[in-house]
Amino acid sequence: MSSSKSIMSTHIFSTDHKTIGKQFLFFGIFFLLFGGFQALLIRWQLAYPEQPVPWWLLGFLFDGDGGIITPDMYNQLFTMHGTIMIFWAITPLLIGAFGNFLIPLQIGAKDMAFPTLNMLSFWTFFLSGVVLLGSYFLPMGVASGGWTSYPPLSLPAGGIPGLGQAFWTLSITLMGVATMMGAINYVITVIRLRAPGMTYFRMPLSVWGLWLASILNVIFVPVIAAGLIMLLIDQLLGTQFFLAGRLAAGGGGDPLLFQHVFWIFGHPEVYILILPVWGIVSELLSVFSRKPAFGYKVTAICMSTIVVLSSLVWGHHMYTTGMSPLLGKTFMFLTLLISIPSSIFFFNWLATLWRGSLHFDPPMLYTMAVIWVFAIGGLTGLYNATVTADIYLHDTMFVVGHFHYTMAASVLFGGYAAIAYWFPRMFGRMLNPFISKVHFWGTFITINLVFFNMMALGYAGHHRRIYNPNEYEFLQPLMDMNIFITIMALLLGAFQILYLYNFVQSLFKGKVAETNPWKANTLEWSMDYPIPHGNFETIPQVVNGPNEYSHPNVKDADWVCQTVKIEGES
Amino acid sequence: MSPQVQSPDLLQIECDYETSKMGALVTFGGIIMLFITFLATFSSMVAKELAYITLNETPIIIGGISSIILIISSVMFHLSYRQWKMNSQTRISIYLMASVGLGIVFLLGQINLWQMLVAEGLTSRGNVLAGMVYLIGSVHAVHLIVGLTVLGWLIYQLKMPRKIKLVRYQLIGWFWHFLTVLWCIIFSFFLIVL
Repeated sequence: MSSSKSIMSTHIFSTDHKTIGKQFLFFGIFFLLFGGFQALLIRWQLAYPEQPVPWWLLGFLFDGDGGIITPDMYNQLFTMHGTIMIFWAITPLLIGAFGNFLIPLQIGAKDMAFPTLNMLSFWTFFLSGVVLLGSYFLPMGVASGGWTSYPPLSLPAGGIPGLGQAFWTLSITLMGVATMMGAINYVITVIRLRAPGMTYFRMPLSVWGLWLASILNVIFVPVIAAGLIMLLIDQLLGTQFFLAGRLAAGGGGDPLLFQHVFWIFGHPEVYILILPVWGIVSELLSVFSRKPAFGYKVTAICMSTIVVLSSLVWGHHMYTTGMSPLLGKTFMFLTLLISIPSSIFFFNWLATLWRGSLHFDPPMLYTMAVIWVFAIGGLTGLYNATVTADIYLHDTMFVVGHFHYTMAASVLFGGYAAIAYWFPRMFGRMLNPFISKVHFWGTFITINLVFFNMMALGYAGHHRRIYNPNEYEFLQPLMDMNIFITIMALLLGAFQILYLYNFVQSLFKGKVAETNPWKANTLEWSMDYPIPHGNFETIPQVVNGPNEYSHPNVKDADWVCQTVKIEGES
Repeated sequence: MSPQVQSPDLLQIECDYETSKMGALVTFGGIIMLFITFLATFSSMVAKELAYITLNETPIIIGGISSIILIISSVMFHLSYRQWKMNSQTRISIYLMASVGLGIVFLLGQINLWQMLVAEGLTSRGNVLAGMVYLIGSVHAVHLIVGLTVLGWLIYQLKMPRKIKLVRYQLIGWFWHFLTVLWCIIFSFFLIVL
């Protein structure tokens, strides 16, 4: 009885931030695989429309419909793929897992400010996942109104039958509650629990990224929560906040209001997902270049500037809704303004690499992949930010390719980099470096061939969310490209199976890691594995910045822990 | 694989006074963002003339009285807090129970007000502005019910021998006062916009 009680409190309902971080990690990986599998089904339909799904893509799931993906199923697939990847895969992987695991360790705290709230955050998140998965058992199926769930499509009047949309709304609302709990914890932990000497500008940039993302969460998750509550009531109780015209029985409301509310949250959400990656990349580049992060303070300030600007640009998602040209130009100007701080820290990354002693270990490879994919994602964003270009590109595969470069490829490689780097700290073992490198190259090549070609398709006029491209004469010549993208996507999926094998195998049989395998100087590497609940026996006194590599005053090594005073430094 | 667990005594989690207060403030910030979104949506609907509400005096008076009741409830809580700080046990429960009672009266007043509005034809399905009024009122009411539950817990705890922490008493008070101020802003907003 006592041992089961112990397992319950140490592994299931634990208040230890490290355990909760791992819980988020496993949760995120499960949904990443689930959402990724749906992407392959979408690709199958686009390349081989209305042909039976093969057995190796679990074709038996579609036996009831002649083995093919029906139009309704297709809508459900892209809706749930987007929803799951954004809210249940990327969010728990980056913010949930590494926010929890890293923040207290890297700032020198014993735990989060509110450990019980932290535990509740995970279990509320878990519940939201259960509700979402529960919708797969509904007689009419899951939501199919797209990951944005714009009304009126997402309302009963929009024609989607059953309760799938309501479950979707409810699960995202619950996820929002969980996110808020976590975000409050992160924000307060960083403000209040930094170790003595750990000033804001001595925090690792990974903590900066996670902290700024949490600030955005605290501000903007309630905004989407308000919109979702209204949508849920429209769906279940028959109010008409977001219905208009002949669909509304009374005077009706305004569907565009939901789009505004959604994107007021939705655009900062992009930064919520990418800020932790920027921070992790900034830190890892320094570690594997054996150099201080170039322009550390400027990078932190640029990320903070982007946090402010990100809240002012939502209208660029709505250029085609008939907004006034003046408003459109204002949103365009503000959006393009973001490219300035983004470029600055991007050049800081390159300057960190410049004349560094580069170590191409797996975490570094993944990190460098982020630089590449983020550059492409960021540069193609300029087209979408520009009103004239966006009117042509809106709702095409160009947009799909663009946001997959920024939100999928960048975040995925950032996540892989983080896992490869902190795996020894989390599990005491090393990921197999050879398999990691094979996985890296396989993923890097295929992911670019998938998403770059999607942009080319979009530029040629291929719309997103269409069921059968063959039905459009002008798209028929592009079918070969669709087939090529699908083959690359399938290969991409295969490499992720290899990654899963590496993860599980290393978890149990990987090489036992030494205390500080990367010779890094941040606080989390100053303790032996396993790190106990409570982390530090005594709170450390921090005397250095987080990236003191190859310091001229340190003679016997090229790194020095943040707690060790460097001779000659004031 | 599993970390060695130290004795809980060793875990000096620094959840101190200031940390809790700051946590409460950030939470209030989130709640404020929720209501700002509702109110901004409401104003947008009014500006676009999607619906109209013409109120006669009775609902306004009832709404006003409800607001005053909630303010008095807040004052009662503050009086209980002062008594508690002075270590005077006699009136704490009375003030707290008055605070809870007035909170319940406020909720009943809201229900009464909504019934009145529905009787005038302002249903949530037929008029989006009325729907917004009910929605905003309901979300506030949900927060208020949470507040009442916590107040009930506080009354129960005061009957226990061990002493309740100052910060807990203070934070519960903050939440209750926050809900009062929030309601006053919402009510004033409705009056101004409509």
